[in-house]
Amino acid sequence: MKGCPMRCIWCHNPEGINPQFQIMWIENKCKTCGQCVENCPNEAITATDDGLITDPKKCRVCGQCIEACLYNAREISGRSITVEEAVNTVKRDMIFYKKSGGGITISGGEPCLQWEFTRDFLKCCKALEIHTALDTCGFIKTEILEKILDFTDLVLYDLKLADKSLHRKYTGVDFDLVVDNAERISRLQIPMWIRIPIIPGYTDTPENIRDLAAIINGLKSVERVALLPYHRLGETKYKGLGIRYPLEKGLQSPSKEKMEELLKILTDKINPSVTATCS
Amino acid sequence: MAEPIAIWQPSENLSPRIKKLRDEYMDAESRPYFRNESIPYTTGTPWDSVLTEHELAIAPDVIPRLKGFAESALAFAKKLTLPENFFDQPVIIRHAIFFREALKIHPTYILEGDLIVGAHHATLLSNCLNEPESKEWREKEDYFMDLVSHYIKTGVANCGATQGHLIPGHKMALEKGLVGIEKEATALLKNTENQEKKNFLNALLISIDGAKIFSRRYANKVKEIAEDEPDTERRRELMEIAEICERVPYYPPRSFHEALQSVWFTHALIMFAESYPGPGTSYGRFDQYMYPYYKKDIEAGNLTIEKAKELLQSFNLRHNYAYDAFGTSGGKNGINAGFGQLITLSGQGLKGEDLTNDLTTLILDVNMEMNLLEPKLNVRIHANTPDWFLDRLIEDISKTQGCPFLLNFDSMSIKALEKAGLSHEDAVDYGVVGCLENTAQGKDRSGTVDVNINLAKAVELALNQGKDMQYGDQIGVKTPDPTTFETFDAFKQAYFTQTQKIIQLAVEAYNISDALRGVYEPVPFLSMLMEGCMENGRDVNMGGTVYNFITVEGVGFATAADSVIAIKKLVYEDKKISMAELVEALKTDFQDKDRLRQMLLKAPKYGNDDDYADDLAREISRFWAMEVPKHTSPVTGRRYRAGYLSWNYFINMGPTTASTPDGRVRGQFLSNAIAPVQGMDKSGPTAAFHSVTKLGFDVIPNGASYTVTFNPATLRDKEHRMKFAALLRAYEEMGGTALQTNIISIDTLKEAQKNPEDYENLMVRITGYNAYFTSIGKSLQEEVIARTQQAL
Repeated sequence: MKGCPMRCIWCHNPEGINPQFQIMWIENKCKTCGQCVENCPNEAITATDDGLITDPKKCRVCGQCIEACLYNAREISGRSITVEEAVNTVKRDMIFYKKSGGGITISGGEPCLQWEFTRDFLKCCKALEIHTALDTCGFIKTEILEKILDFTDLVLYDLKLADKSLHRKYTGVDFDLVVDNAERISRLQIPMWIRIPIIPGYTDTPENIRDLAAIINGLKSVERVALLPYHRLGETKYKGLGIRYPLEKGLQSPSKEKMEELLKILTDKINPSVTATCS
Repeated sequence: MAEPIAIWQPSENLSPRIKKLRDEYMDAESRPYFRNESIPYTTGTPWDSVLTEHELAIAPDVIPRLKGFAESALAFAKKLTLPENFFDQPVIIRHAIFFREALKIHPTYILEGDLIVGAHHATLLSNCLNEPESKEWREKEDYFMDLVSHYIKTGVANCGATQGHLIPGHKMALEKGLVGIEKEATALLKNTENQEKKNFLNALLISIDGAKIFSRRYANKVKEIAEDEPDTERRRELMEIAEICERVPYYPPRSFHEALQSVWFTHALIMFAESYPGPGTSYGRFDQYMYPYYKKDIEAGNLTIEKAKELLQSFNLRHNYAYDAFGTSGGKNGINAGFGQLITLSGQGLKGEDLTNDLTTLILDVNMEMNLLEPKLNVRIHANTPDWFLDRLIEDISKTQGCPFLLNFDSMSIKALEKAGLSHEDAVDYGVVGCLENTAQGKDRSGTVDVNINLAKAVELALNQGKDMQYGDQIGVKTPDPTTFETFDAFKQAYFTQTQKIIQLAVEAYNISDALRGVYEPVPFLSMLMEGCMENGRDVNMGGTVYNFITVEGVGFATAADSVIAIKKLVYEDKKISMAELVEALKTDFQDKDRLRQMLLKAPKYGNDDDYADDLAREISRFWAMEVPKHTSPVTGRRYRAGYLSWNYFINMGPTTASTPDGRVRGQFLSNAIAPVQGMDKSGPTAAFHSVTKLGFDVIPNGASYTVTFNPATLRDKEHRMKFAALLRAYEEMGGTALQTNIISIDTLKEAQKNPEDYENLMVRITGYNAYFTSIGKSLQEEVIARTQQAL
């Protein structure tokens, strides 16, 4: 689902931030033939030394550059879909859910922004006895979240920074609502899997992990906590969307040792009934 | 950089003797003292022939060398001493006598430390014809080879009656022993007046004699060696082996060791009799018919699991020497990795019960430890396959880059075999041949890779009024000028007409080779192992056994389907491309037509669970599959059936198939068996599985090969392995028939291309068979790399 209320500077799915359609340029497929520049009716595309840059202010996402591109190097991020279409698509894999005990996950961006769709979609899935998981950042009005939780079997929940001022600085939003909502989910006894992104220089301090662990220990429905190492796969997508990459270039993924060290801190601190992993 | 992965290696726990035997095998260069190279035997007449070209017509790479090879083989051939009235005998008796006489002098060789003897079995036997027969045979053979060569040159098909590719009745042979067969043949002989039947039965008796002579020569040879053996333990072992060779395969075996030696002798003698280290000469449900011997010995304390393992390891090694015979003539695309002496494991019984036993898992253990190409394993999966067994299989898959065995799925396999005419009992008890081909055990000549047609060629012919675009030959039906097709249905009809024509051409050519083999190339030793031959008094090559199928394997299916789909969408529905423009672009291989080509590449593709594409794909698949069984080979009465297996043909047919409307340029390989076009299944594995099973394999009794590449992360932990198990269980329920997996990252494959020396043990699945990645040709390597990587 496109659109997100947070602005985490390490976001690796930048196409999920903006709720509108966007043109994505795929650098490694591009042969810089210039067809897209020529065919853009809004003169939104400029060939630069750094590739073909689309000015989001000028682009009307008409798709003519995609038609013109011979090499599949341009595509539209996002498409409109009705609840019925989405349900019909997931229904096709019923046999796999049955055999694996699995189901569907609705994710984004932030699926709770388009909450009516999300609620209706999950409701339909429940009616079909498909297991449902909601992947959310938690920054959403509690009463809206609750409407969705009625049809949710599992919540994948992100916690990033325990320090409130840092949270505001690097995600753009307050941490309090995120914690309140987590507690709400826990009180509703919906199983939660917490994910903590490990971003070197931002979230990878021992005290952050310890503080987050303390918060998690207060959430009784948490089953798992996973540490997710930073990776750089998002970088090219920023370029493709014509957006500046907010993190310093060349920031490296945390080392295996670092991840293990943080996992140890987490394991020591976390309730023993919770499974802690690195992925 | 590729992530470091542990490439599948031989186990460090192999016993010293097995390790030594394995090393000795692998290092073919430094064992000049023993190679299983084909030994030619001749009648000594000037018109003799020891190599039958139609048997190799399905290996297009070797055809140009066959004539020269045949001549030099004849020049080096050993002349056998034959009875004076040899040429007065009927052809089948001559073959039996020749078989027996060759076995009297064929070298016996025992590898140091070996436990299962009979290492040398590759031969090139005379066709035993007299002068006028030989002349007729030669004429027909040349006519056939010219015809097939033309079809290969134009990429239409290849075909030829080929040895192997069947499952002999090992269970029966073990239970009765050859002595039992001898008794039955003798009794039948007394009660028949029919001369042909008499000839056939006499030929069986002579062949049994030959087999007995051969195994006893081994007994003597082993005794000789034993006498000079200083090590008392080995001497005792050799004496035991000598005793075993005195008994089997003539008498029924009493122990696991005897049973193993017996099936090996039988297997080797079939290959000996068929003049080839027989590709696809397969065992069927080995873990079922061998289990009683294993169980009895283990329970009685006569056999330890370690000893059983060593015996099986020794047995496994034997099969790999098949490659010696082809060491110097393997094709450029890893042809020499495709013998496919297949063992079928596990699967269901008549009541749907699971038949996995201790021997099943022991054979899997042995395979894991040996890291060899042969014998190839196939595991049957069904609704009641236990979780622990599936989990174990997946663990093996995860440790071996995916290729230690392939998987066949029971419910659809059984359904399709029954639909083709097998009894319910025979269908449930099916075995697997060669790569993945389902067949009845011990009662079908099968011929599973004998006819291979190019489904994509029909697109080219439909767009060029039946003419080959490169050579202009009028191969197909002269359908109307494609620019005059006003509707998509008109084009589709032309495509189907050309498909029918291609089937007809291939079938008619094959019939020639089938008749030639039926009349001139009987194999009495094999026939006695095939149910029904004795009662019918007819050789297996003459249609004497219970079921007599010939499989037509469809090559390039997805290339064909995507091409038809693109035409429907872009030419007739969206009208974005005119037919004239398309044909012109195909004829010039899209030169300066990049835009058009990209439009074609973006058209809907089979493999994405998109009904628009898949419905048409299904129609195309069922059309040709149901066309095939309308044909029967007139002289032998064998009936054709459909299958999907592309062996290496999807590579070979690349340059001979014009550019196709799916956006493929001439030269690029065709799609592999039923897999979507390489890289076009972009919607994940569940979508691809849906598309594939939508085709409906109830009309594909041979089964359909589907090779999927997964990223190694897919199997990284227990949770992911369970997801993979769910995928397999779903594939069974959805009606899949065969699945082969590669669990490898593209980075690793590219690394292996760059640094082959570091990846010598890396095996990959090609289609129904696996091969050492670094030993296959560059073009095949690229094909493996181009496949879509799926993740769960």
